[in-house]
Amino acid sequence: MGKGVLKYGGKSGILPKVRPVFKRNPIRAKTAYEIEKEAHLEHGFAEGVPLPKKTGFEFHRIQPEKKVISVEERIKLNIESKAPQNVDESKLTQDQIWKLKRDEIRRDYLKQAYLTEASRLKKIDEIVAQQEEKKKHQTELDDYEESDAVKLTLPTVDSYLKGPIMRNRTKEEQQLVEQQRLLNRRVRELEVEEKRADDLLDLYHAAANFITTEEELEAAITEAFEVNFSKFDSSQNIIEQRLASAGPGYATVDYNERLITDHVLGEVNGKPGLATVKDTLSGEKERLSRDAQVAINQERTDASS
Amino acid sequence: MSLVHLANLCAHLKNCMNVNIASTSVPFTRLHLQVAVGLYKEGFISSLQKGSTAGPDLKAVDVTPDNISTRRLWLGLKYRNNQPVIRDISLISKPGRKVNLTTEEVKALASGLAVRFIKPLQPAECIFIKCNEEVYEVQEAAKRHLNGLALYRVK
Repeated sequence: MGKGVLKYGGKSGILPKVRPVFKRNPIRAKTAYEIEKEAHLEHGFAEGVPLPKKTGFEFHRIQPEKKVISVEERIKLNIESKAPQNVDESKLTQDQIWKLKRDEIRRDYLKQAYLTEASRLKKIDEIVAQQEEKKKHQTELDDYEESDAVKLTLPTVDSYLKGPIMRNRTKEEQQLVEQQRLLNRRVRELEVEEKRADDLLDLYHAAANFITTEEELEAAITEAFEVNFSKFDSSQNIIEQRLASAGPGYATVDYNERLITDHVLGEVNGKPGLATVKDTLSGEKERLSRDAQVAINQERTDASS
Repeated sequence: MSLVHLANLCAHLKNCMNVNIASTSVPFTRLHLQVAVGLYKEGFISSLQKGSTAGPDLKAVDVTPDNISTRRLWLGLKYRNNQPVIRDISLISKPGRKVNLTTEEVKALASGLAVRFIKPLQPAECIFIKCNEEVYEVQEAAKRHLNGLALYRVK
């Protein structure tokens, strides 16, 4: 490793800067964007500063435009015009013929290099143009100003549109809603449970009259058809009368009456209802009656004394 | 955003205009709000208010999940010489045929040319375009070099 490469981080093989193929004159006229960009570029000395004297050189505050020489012109000027014309190869030595051929190969290479470089520059120009267009578009978007009428009349509605349309529930509100839902569900479940318990009780009371053995069945048949025949007969007559009569309300009066009585007294078919059973089971009823008894006794002792 | 809801809105406005109703309400959604603002900016409706199914709000009310179903947007309809200001309002894009316009097509439309099957813009007519979840009038969209979905036209 040589001494000089240490400044490149100890790396060898640093290539020199690539020399431009089209060095002095540009190959195309400046684009609108370039003209605009370079419009404010100024060189040289400030106003009032005396200029140094330099023979063969003129100071310009704004650089004069360089003459555009296109690739075709360059090829014509530097390559095609320089090719030797009307060479009679029969009079030349082998060496001279080889040199001519070599020069032609070099001219070919130069031409290729010009064209390749031109196409490369064209691609770069296209990319830059695209970027510029994009930038311009973005600037226009950023600079777009709405009319005064819109600015003055619509700030509130615009503010609605900026944020979310709906405010979500806060944590506390969400908890409240969840609690309410839980409560609703439990109330419904309780209602169902109570209904089931009520039905069960109903069934229990009804089961007292169920006929479960053969003897009971015999007894019931004897009761109905032999002992208490008239009751059976009258019941049958009543049913027939009711079926024959037009009013359906008549048939349900008894049933409705019983329902109302049950509901008011909290009973099931005239037997203790669910509330009564619950109180009894929990000992509440007994405690109440005991308390009442104690209170009555207390009153009596107070009255006697 | 649903074109079906937009179609319902257009039909509702036309129905209201046919029977000369002074104000009407539509569900409170972002699309409806954007459309209503567009109509208001272009002078097709006279007022725009937040409210509930009962009527416009007298006090500001927050929109929450609990009241969103009853929130409405109240639009004041405009009439001139006993004629409705909105003569016609109709969809351009349909749910089954969405019309996406390029920037060039938007500009062409704004400058009064026909684009594909969209007929040229007439005087006192507006076309609204949706771009980046916002609704723009075609002239504004052309100025901003936007492209997007052609929503509806109103005259």
